[in-house]
Amino acid sequence: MKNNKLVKLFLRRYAEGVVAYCVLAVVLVLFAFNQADFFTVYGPQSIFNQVITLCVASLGQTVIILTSGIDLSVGSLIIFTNCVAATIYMPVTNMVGGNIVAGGIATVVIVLIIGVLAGLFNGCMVVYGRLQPIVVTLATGSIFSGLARYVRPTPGGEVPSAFARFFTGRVGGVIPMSAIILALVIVCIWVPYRRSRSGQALYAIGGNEKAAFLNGIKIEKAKLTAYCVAGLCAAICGVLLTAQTRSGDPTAANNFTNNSIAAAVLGGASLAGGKGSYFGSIAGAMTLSLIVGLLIFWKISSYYQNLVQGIILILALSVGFFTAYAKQKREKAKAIAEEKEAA
Amino acid sequence: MDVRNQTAAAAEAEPKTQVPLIETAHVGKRFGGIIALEDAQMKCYPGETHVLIGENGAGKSTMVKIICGVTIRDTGDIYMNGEKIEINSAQDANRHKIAAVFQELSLIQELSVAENIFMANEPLTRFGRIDFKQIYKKAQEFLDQIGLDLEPRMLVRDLTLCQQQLVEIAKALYKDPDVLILDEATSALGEKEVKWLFAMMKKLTKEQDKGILFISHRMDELEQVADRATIFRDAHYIMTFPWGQLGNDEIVEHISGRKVALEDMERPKGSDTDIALELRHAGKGTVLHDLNLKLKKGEILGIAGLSGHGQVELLHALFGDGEFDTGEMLVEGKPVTVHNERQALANGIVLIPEDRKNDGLILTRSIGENITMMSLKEISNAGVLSGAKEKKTIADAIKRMSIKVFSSDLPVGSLSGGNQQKVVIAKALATNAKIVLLSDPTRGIDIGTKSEIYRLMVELTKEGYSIVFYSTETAELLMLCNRVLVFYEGRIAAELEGDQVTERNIISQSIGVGGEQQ
Amino acid sequence: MEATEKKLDLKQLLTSNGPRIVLMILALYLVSGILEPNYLAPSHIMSVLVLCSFLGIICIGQTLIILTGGADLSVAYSVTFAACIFAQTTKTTGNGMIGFAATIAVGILMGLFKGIGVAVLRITPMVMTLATNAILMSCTFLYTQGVLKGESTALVTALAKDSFLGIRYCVLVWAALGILTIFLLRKTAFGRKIFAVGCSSRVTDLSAINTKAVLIGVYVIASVMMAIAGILLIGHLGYPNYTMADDYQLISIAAVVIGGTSILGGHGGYLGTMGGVVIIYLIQSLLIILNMAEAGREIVNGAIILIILLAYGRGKKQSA
Repeated sequence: MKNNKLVKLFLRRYAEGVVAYCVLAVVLVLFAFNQADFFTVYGPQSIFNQVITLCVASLGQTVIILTSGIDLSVGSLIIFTNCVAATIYMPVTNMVGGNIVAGGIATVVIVLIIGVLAGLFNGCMVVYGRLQPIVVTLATGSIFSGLARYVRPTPGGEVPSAFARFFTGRVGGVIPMSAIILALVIVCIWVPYRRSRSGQALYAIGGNEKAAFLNGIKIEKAKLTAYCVAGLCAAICGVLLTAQTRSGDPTAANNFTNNSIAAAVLGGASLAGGKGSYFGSIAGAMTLSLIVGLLIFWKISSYYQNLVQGIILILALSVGFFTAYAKQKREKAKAIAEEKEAA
Repeated sequence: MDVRNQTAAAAEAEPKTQVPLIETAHVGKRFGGIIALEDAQMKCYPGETHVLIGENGAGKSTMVKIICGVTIRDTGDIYMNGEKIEINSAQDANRHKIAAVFQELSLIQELSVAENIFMANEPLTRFGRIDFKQIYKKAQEFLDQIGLDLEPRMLVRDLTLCQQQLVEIAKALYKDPDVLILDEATSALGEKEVKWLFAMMKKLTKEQDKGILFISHRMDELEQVADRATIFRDAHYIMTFPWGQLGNDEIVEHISGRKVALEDMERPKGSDTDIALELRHAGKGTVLHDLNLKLKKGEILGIAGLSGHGQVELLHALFGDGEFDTGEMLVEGKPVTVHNERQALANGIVLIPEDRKNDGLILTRSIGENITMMSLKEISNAGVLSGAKEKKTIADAIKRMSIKVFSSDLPVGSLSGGNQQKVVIAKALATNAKIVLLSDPTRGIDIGTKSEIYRLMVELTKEGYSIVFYSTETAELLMLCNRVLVFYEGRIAAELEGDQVTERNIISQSIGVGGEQQ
Repeated sequence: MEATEKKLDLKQLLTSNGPRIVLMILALYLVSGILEPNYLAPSHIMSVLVLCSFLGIICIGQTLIILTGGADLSVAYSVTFAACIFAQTTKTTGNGMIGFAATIAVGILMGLFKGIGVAVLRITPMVMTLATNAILMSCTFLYTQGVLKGESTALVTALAKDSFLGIRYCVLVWAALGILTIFLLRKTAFGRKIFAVGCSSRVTDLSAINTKAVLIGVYVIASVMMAIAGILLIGHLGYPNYTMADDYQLISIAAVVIGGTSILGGHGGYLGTMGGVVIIYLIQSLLIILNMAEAGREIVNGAIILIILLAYGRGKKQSA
């Protein structure tokens, strides 16, 4: 009885996220029909490898959207960190004595630090510069993209195949490493962050910044932390991209910015802020990535990819308008009915 | 003036043996050019419920907002238990165990009841993470303890307005305050909830010796809880008295007092036969119900009532900003559809909104641009602005309204409040509309401009304009309106005409205590 | 006493918009001239102005949209898609006029799409245009099927390459459209409404202005301007290419912001933007003189926006 009520309350709170998982389930079923090795160990492996980068990127985007901001620099930051990783891997390895494992760890740490610093820079501009997040990240996006070209004027770089195999392979022959990394990101970064006062404050800041202030929430600290976490997520995504492509490409057209926003919105986040959840965003990200996979299965020209993703983003953003419209109609009908009853 | 001093000296009955729990002295606050509070004072003793009474804008809300750090005072001191304290932010007030509940909610809609109660004060686990289990457990315990039937896991957005208000109260109570401020906190509550709150208040004051500052516009509520009362009027302290010492009539008298030097104006009665605007059974959501009104041509129809009873919504709905859901609207006897502001204007209706800074003007654009904003069609030929027509429109408006400006190219924001209000009116009069909806047009402006606006209104009625006039200042309605509709909870509680239009009738009808005038 | 007065004057001169832009242009021009004397030659000035004309026409759209409080992030593929439409339609029909008409029609459609998303569906302008950019990218590839067809026509090439009294036609086109834009903003009812909507859509609604129509109108004009820029760019480059307009995305916003238009909307104008466009290209050519690679230019463009906003976008925000 009590459990029943809890389930109901959970569904009510995370309704959009639950819907996102239903959509994901449909996409997965379609996948199962199309992918020959879906039910072997390769199935989950390939799926998780497809979705992991966008999942991590959309987590970072969700944090910013919760504060009622938006991060347009995430795509460039991912590419920048990717280029840095691909470029410094071997030099760093040589520095630590030629051991590619130690080199890999050092590279990852350096890249993650760069990501956090880049996020901190965004955060400082927003908090201390009192500028709009959307414009700040548009400008820093250009800066990160320039830095990427500066680090790697041409596509390339050297990444040991062991590094790639480690991140894209399976553990114990069964569990995809990508799945483990996603779990690690959630358990080691997201859950602790979400359960910190700064993380909790995001909902208050995005929902009603004035009320948050009057309630004694430390807004500046919470926002700075949020941008650092977003930068960290982008850097993790950059590392994973490096493992997947084994190179850095500053000119790579990427849809991370678009798709991370779309994923968060699909997962129930509102661009007005204060509303959204990480597991909803993950469902959104998986759905978006897998739809691209489906297009490939169905031999639909890759030219459609952006079209489909763009339309999904616009539709997801219009849901609010249509539900508000329907609600208004409903209320009006109700008022008329009541009036009739009274008369 | 001397009346005020007399009353202030007369009835300051207070228990001399005790030190006040919270006391303010010589408090002053200005918002721009508007005086919200001047040299005001208030004392609340432990174990008492102290009610603050006064009309809208009398200063009572400003006083409690200053005490709880939402508004920062310009001058004056605050004392707690006899010691001077500094309250310059909400956090300061928190530290001194002062908690407040306002009519406007400060809850976060997307968080649960428990998360809101514990906001910025969440219990942490050993690792410094928020202990959500504890939050829900403690919240449940606390809600049980104070006797509220709320599910701590419910999202605030899924609660009714009444329940949200209860959460707000619970949140304040959880801080275990020494001073609890309730500013119109009962407006959204039902009968049962109000009863609960009053029992709670009794427990806090009589058993735990806390102090409560209570503001409400419902006389019957004050009667139930008040120990002592302080009256404010026109941003000034008037008097403090033990509840029961004064009768209702006397209280109403002190609340209204003598206001702006009233001029003896004719009260335009309007035409007996021509009806400019009519509403039949108009209603809108939960804010307006079954409104029937007729605006005679050439009349100033007064709309009265305490704020938040649907007057503003009525005027906006008439102008198509949030249209009526039900009922009919007729202009000069013909039914019209008004879904938006453009249709309203096309039917000759224009609104002068109450919030001139946010709704009426673009402060950063020039005076001229603001004046012509609603009449761009009239001053242009095929979409191209005619310099000559524009100049003439602006010059005429500035002259007619006697707006004091160096140049019409200056931003409106550089003008004084009174002149800004004149620009808003000029903007509306530059259109062809003859039905003017005036929403509290004299709020926060100087006396000189006020009387200019009054005279203008009378002049306008002679030129064939018809005016719906909502004012929070009863005196203005008395001066200008032959007919006044008093609003109470979204309905027309009374239609007063001619000799019935008295201050006493209006005030008693708007606090829901006088039914006999109907 | 006199000295302080002078200082005040200088300060005022530097902080008011017009003189500041003129001073920046002169300073950049002089520095470029000192570093590379060839840059002072009239022919080089004209070649800078030609580059300015394409960005300038794009910035007509960007200025209008920023004035309404948004920003267009679909510049890259609005321009490219239009250019591809022009080249391919002209090639298949053999008639430049049909190509032109088709391109303008596509411009109008793009504007309606963006405008309805922003005004009716109330999607944040930047996100709406970001999504539109992705859609237009797909449209471009689908339309061309990955093979760019067509090339410039004689007339369009002449517009970009030929001169009248020593001034290239495309610069004249920019000047003409620029004057029209300034006229639109300053002397028409629609222009007034654009500023008002950018300041407060609440006030315009309550002033019986059709806010949605104004917004949609602005997006349509903006997209048509981007289509025209696309056609002229083909004349300049000779044939379309997929990345022909990528660079314009950020610098179009930078030029508008440098020109003194508030990123929050409601204040500014096109004359300032024209100055901003010139400044952008003077900076670009200075960076080329300094041998700065493309990477450096991207960093500088981003940094310019941040610096300009920190310098004077912030003050406006506080007062607004």
